This record gives sequence, C-alpha cells and structure tokens, in this order.
Amino acid sequence: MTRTTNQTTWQTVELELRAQLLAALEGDQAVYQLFLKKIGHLLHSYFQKRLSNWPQDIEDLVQETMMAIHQQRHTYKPAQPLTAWVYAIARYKLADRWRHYASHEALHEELHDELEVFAPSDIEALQVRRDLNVLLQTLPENQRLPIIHTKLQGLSVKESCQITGLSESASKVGVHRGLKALRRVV
Amino acid sequence: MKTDDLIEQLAASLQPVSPYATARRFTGLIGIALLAAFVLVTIVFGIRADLMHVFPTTDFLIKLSMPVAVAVASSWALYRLGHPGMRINFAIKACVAPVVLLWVTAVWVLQAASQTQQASMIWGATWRSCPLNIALMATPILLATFVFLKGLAPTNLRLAGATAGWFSGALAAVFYSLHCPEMAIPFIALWYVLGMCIPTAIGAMLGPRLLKW
Repeated sequence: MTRTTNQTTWQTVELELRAQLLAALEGDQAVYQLFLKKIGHLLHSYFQKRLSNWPQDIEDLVQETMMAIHQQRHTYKPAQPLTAWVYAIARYKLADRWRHYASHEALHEELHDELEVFAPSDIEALQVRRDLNVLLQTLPENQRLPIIHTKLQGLSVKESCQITGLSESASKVGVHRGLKALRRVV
Repeated sequence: MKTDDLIEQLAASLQPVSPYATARRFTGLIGIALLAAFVLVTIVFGIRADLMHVFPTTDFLIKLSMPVAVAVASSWALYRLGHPGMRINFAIKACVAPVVLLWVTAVWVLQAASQTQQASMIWGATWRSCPLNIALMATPILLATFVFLKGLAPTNLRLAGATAGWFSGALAAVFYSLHCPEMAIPFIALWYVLGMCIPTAIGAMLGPRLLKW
C-alpha cells in the first residue's frame, strides 16, 4: 500500500489545477468552472484561518479574490507553480482587507461587557423608588392611595377601601385613572 | 451573491488569453515613451554635435553601459513584479548591480586623479541641470510604465512603482547621454544616478495609490 503524504496530495492538487487553468486560458469554460470551484475551497480554508475575527467577511473575500484571479488570469505563466500564483493573489487581497480593517476599526471602541457603563447599579432600586414616589405625588389622593395600597403594598381592594373610605368601584376607577395618568407622564 | 453563482458567471464570460499579450503591450507602450524621450532630447536639449566622434570611445561606452544595463535589468524586474508569485530577489539585485559597479569604478578613477582633476570630475559643468533634466525626460516613460503595470498584477505596489521609476530614469539617462557633454565616470556615478533616483522616489510614492487592482 502506498502512503499518500501531504506532499504528494499537494503536488496532485497543483498539477490538476495547473492543467485546468491552462485549458481555461485557451477558452474551456467547463474546465474553468471546475477550477474555480476547487480554488474556492482552497481560498475559503486559507481565509478562514486568517480572518477568524471577521467570519462574516470570509465568503466576501473569497469572491473578491476569485474575481481578481479571473481578471488577472493572464498573469499566470505556465513555468510558474500555480499554487504560488494563487496564494500570492490571495495574500495581496488579504493584506488589503487587513489595511481596511486597521483604518476603519481604529475609530471603533468595542463595547465589552466589562465596561463600567454596563455595571449593575447598587442604588438603582432606590432611584426607581424615588422616581415612583415623585410621580405618585402628582396624582390626587383618590387615585394615589388606592394605587399605593393595592399595587405597592399588596393589599386587597377591600382592605384599601377600609383605609381610604372610598367605595370599591371608586377605588378601582381611581387605580385605573391614576395608572393611565402615570402612563401619559412616563 | 452566492459563490456558486459567481463561478457560473465568471465561467460563462471566459475568453481565451493570448500568451503574447503582455509582450505586445510592453513593446507598444515603451515604444511610444522612447519616441517621446527621443523627441525631447532632439528638440528640447539638442543632441551633442560630436556624437559621431565620441560614440565609439571607451569613455562614452562606459558612460552609456550603466543606464543601458539598469534599463535591461529593471525591465526584467518589472516583468517579474507584475506577475504574482514570481520571485524577485535576484532581479532587484540585478537592477542595482550596475550602479554599484559604476561607483566602485568611480572611486578607483578618483583616487588615481589629482586634486583639481577630482573636482572637475565630480562637478563637471552641468551638475545643476543634469539630474533634473534626466528626471524630466523620465516623466513620459514613467507614465507609460505605470500604464503598462496597470495591465498586470503587481503584489508589492511600492516596490513596483519604485522599479518603474528606476527603469524610467535609466532609459532617460540613456537618451540624455546623447546630449550631455560630461564624460567623467564620477560625474555619471553621482549626478546621473541622482537623476534616476528622482523618478524612483516618485514611483515609490505613486505606486500604492495608482497601481491597485
């Protein structure tokens, strides 16, 4: 059994692609399609290793490089190793992309979760309570008190009525109107 | 767009490519540039009157040999720079070697000369105008070379631009020799090379901006 090392598979790929491209340079469209498909896979794994920070751009760069390969296919000379030519073009496009990121993202500051802006506030609960009290003070008593009793203190409507002296329906109406008023303010 | 769709589109638009296209383009463009340089030398500067006498002399041939060698070497380097994946180390060294050789010769000539002779060898009569004239004549050639490079795929834009400038400077120096009265090797080694460096610097600056593909 013959052992296929990485070296020999590489050589096979090189020879196959080279033959395909040379045929394509003569005008063979079907072979060219096979060539491009294989190149697409090569490029994808090449860029995947190097663009791990921007996975959404990998396919984009593959297509860009493929178009460059198509437009510059006259710069492949048969004496050259084909993979050297392909990867030189890929490197050029990759360097271009990195330059773009460097200039573009230099102005970005990423919002990490550790930033202080996102730290939970200790006094948040107290601040909310204070705001609520301020808002409730804007309501008339027959709305404010039933709301405080039934919504904040957890009393039943009946218990609230016993304290305020309002009828049950009046109490319910008061809660309803009060919350509506608060909603308009907030 | 999905990659498979792109592949189909590209394959459908495939046209055969001639292997001689690049050579034809080069000849055409550089031919035009050389014509422009020749016109400049004849009309603007004027060919030196004693050219026929001086041409076969050793001095003149040595003076001419440096720019010619650099022009040949840099056109080869340009070819390699324009094709992705080709190794360029040796080609670049070949571009610089003629100048280095000339410098060694110049030093040797200088140390064998007297004090006054050395001064006249270095400064000559036209040191003020010589580099700028060469740079001026290199401009149309640099333009043509950049147009040529746009049809190729240089992966190192700054180096390609600089080599284009070096090539243009060398060709300009060849034509300028037809006008220039100076014969001393130290003069050539200093002022001609300076004149060649100006379009090189310009090419290096413009390369990354203009040669993108």
